[in-house]
Amino acid sequence: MQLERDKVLVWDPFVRMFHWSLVLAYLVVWLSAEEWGWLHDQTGYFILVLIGLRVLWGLIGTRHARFGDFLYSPGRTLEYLKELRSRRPQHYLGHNPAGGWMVVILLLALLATGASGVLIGAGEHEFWEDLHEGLANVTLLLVFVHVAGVLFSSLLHNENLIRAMWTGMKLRRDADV
Amino acid sequence: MSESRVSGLSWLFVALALGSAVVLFRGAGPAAASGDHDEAHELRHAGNIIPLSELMGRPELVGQRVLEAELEREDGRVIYELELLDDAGQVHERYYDAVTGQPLRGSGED
Repeated sequence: MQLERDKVLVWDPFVRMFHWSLVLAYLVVWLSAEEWGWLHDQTGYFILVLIGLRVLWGLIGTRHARFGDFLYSPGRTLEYLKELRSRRPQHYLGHNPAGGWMVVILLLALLATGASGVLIGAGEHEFWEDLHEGLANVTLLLVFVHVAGVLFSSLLHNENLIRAMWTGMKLRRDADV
Repeated sequence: MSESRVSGLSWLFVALALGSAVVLFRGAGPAAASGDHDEAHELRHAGNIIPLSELMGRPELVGQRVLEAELEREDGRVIYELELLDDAGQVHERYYDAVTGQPLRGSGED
């Protein structure tokens, strides 16, 4: 049985606020893509600000917020994916290796999408618009992969990762990394 | 840095994110944001846009069928975004400054 004292704060306030603000902003930016230019543009800038802050926080932030905590070598990541296939993966208190790379890939995809959107106004209108739309679709696909990964991992380890990202708390396990 | 100072910083980052949201969404909407410089600039120009019919008088547009015409705002400019069907059955997108009627880069390069 897990004891109350095994409950630890893993995600600090900024990590949580960043995550759920991004979810909300991402919804708004999709829904406003066709019709409402002002809202779409401002929300896009907001997402870029969020990403900038998150990258900075990844360098100086709390333990599990830092890139150094959750970026594993390709070798270790492949090993983890094999563990997933065996259904008995190592449990991580912070992001697991696959989740860690997902974070980085999502940040890069959002950054590229945002940058291409900003450049639409800077000339070569059609080129940047096509690129922006293409990248937006890639990002949406990545979001689906991310959500699927979270659900899969939650079921596998019998823990609610969505709630953990809301409250910040996770239950530490004996063999945790 | 001690763990408690780092978690204090976490709240600082929350405040920075919220502050940026306030700055970006201040005025909430183009209509309400008329005090904003960019918006004022845009609206001033919006009154000067040339009609689509005048734009269609440009030599390269004569005889083309308009599939879709949109008036968009980009970075303080108002832009006509035209989707055209030419005689050969090809679809093109062209962009024009809606105030000057001048074609914009990225136009008709497909």
